[in-house]
Amino acid sequence: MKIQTDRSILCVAFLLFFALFVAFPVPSSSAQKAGGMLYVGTWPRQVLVIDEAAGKVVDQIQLNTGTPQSLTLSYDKKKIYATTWNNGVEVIDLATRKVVSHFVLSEGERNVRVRGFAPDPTDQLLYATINTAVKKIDRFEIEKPKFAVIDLAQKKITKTFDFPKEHDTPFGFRAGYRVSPDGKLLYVFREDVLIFDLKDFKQVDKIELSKPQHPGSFPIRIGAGDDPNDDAGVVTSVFNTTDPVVRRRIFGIARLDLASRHLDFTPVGPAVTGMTGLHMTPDRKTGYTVAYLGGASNEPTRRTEFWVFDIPTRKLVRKHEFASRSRFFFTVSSDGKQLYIYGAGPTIEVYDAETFKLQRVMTFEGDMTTGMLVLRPRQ
Amino acid sequence: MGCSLVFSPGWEVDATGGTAGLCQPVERDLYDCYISCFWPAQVPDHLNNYPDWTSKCASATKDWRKIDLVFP
Repeated sequence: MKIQTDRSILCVAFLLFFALFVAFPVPSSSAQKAGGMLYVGTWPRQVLVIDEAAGKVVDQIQLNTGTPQSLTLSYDKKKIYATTWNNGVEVIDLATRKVVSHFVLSEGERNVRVRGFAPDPTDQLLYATINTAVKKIDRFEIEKPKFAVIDLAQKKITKTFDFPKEHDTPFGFRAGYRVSPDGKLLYVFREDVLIFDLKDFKQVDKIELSKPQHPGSFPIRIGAGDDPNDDAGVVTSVFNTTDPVVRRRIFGIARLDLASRHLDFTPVGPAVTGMTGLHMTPDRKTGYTVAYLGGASNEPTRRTEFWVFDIPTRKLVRKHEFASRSRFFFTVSSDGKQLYIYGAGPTIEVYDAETFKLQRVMTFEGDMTTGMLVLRPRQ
Repeated sequence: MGCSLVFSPGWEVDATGGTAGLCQPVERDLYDCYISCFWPAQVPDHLNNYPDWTSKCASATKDWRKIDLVFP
């Protein structure tokens, strides 16, 4: 009898355990946290904060200086630097979702336009390249491009430096920028990677990607990624290269360590018309990009495909063609389970990263004017 | 309008003479024409003369009737 009672108790306990922990599992601590947030600049002058899971706008951050042009995450990932088409710089605090500082670089008849920038590791300075146009009574005079140090506390450019003569073109660098983790070096990503000492903006090194890095390839082009899932101090990107024998263009994946200047790259396959940036899942094991095929004058019909890479082995493992809008941006959700196509309009198309099926379309009030920052919940 | 470089027959074709480079609908291209392409022959000059011509229109595909008329 006692044995039967014990069995009954055990059965009840088992049923309770099953009901509480198996049939109705308790959410893990990570699942209880708020989901990812999307930040994107829209017309006419706001930054939308979108709850990624709900697909709804939860906040609108009004900018003071104009239509947003770009959004850049600060080094500490607690702020966003927004530039505007009216040559403004605004600092958005992510905790309060408020603009905590804003200023315009232009003064009087001098229109100062930022071509690109990177924050320093202390988030007190922005290292930028600028173009200045001075309005005269009958014309604009375009000054030579310069490096500029923008002091966020003083809200102005505190130093400028001339470009190296070989790069002294009218429009300066249209490139990606990154600052090394120790705050001493500026990386400029062009055909080669140029490295400047931030004390005096003298070029101290160059990673000559235009020369063969492995037997049978040149030149390589790499862009500074803006992937928040990338390692801090590392740029991982797709690149193109050309076989010098048969002149066949191929692409690959490169990983540059900004502290050691070590470049590790792997050719993958024949190059296509173009590719968007490489975006990785939070575990950095899978990378996604969109490849453009066709679209040139001899093949006017352009096709687009999602490409999936296994990052540890650097292999292209899956492709899937989809019907895209003509112009778009691409990024990956904070959990790596969805793919976003957006831009050139007020909508974000959400695709399942596994099946590539269109799950939903989010529609907002204003046309998008910037790339979108996908921020994971704080740990 | 849009990323067209060809004036004949007009903005209905893209730089390659086709239509693959044009946004659908064409209003999707309007604001990038305005802010990044600097195409003053086809959209008003927002830097100096008409800074507010789209201030009442947040989405060109939905609100295009609210865009100000500009008479140079």
